[in-house]
Amino acid sequence: MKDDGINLVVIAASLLLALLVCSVVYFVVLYRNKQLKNKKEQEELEANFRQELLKTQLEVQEETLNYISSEIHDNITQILSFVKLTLGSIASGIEEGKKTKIIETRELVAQTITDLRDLSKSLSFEHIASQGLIRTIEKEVERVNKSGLIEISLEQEGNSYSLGEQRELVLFRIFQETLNNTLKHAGAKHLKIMLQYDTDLFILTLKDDGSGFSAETLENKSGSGLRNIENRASLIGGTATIDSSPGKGCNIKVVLNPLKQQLY
Amino acid sequence: MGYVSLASTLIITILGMVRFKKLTMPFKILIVWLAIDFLLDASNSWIISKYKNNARLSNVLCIGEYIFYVVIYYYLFRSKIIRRFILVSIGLFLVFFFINALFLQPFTSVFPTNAIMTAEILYVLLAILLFKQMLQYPLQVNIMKQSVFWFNTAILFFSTTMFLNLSLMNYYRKYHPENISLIVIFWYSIDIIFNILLGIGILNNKKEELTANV
Repeated sequence: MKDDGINLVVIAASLLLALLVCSVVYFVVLYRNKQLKNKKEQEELEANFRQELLKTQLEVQEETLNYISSEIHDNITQILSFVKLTLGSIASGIEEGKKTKIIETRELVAQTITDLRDLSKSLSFEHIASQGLIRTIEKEVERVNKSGLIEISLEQEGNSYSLGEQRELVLFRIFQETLNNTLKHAGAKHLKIMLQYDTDLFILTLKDDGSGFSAETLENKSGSGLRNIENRASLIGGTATIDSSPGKGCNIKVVLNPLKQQLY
Repeated sequence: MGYVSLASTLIITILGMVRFKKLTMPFKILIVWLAIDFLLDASNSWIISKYKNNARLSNVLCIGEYIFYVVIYYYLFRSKIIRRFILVSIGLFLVFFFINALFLQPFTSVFPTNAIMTAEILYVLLAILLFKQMLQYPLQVNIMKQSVFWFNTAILFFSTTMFLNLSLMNYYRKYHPENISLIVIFWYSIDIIFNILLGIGILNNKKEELTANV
């Protein structure tokens, strides 16, 4: 009877300890799962926040660009047109030497008006939306090629289709950012632009033959134009890969699934 | 074995005192209690030789332990309701403890099992509630490096095994008094494991953790 009692107590003790250990192990497993879930949620929240922030920045930037565009179009070019007309009227009643200079000045003003109008169009969201991505890039390529700063070639593969106003605008801004970087930093002579339209894939490739840069430079330049390109691409559901090394130019590729819906 | 248990208490007390400035408030309170506990345990033999039993010491340990541990839990909980419950429980427990010590289990001669069992039940409840809180607000820190986890596991381990200890002690005293030393060894083993768990908690505790978990 006594032995039965002690056996019972030993069994109960063992069971209790086993239960205790199991409970603690179960708690640890639950806790780790909860940690993972929370981490994932936090990362999602941060990603959403970054997206929202970038979206707001882009909206503000677009508003500013639109404002500058309308100012150039409605104010500065109007004043220059008036200057051009005035110069025309002055030129009619004066001696030949001065008249030639005035005509040359008038032509320069006319050229400035044309350039400013083109610039105004490239800044305006409405203009980009109405013209479409390819046409807007073509215009910009013409404008820059005319300047003689760099030689840009544009190629297209596949039948073009609309990617949506917002996405085309973002892609055009990526193009502008790249062009700006190429002109300012790369010292490139050629820039090649390729637009590839597949059924479920769109690829924009921008390749220059400039000085290039190391991977470290890209890593260290958070918030720079290059980082902006990646952020903007992610905002429209795409991915941007930047491939460069010193002396070997820079190749930027933006890949996008046109069928994938993106909030922005 | 008793000396090993006492030495383990002393070691973790010294460890806590060395790290005292780096510890969070709950762990500072724990160290203070461990120091008191060590002194009381060390005087056990003297008390027995003087009063022929250690009932007085057990009563002091029971009430001291309860107040210190629930105050530690008070700092560890976020919930205002649980904190209020802890404060109320101190008052209620004090009343119950004195009724028990004066009328039910006289403090001069009887081991205060009523008070100890009540306290252990409350510790188990608080430990489970703290585990629940930890699940509600998980930290991005490895759980094995969280002092609160080790402290709570120690309390849960000690409190749940206390029921077993007491029942085994009663059983052996009644039916196998010749083997009572076995259960004493078991009791001390539990005590040493408890101290080791607390020691890991003290080693892992640092003030930065406070903002996240407490």
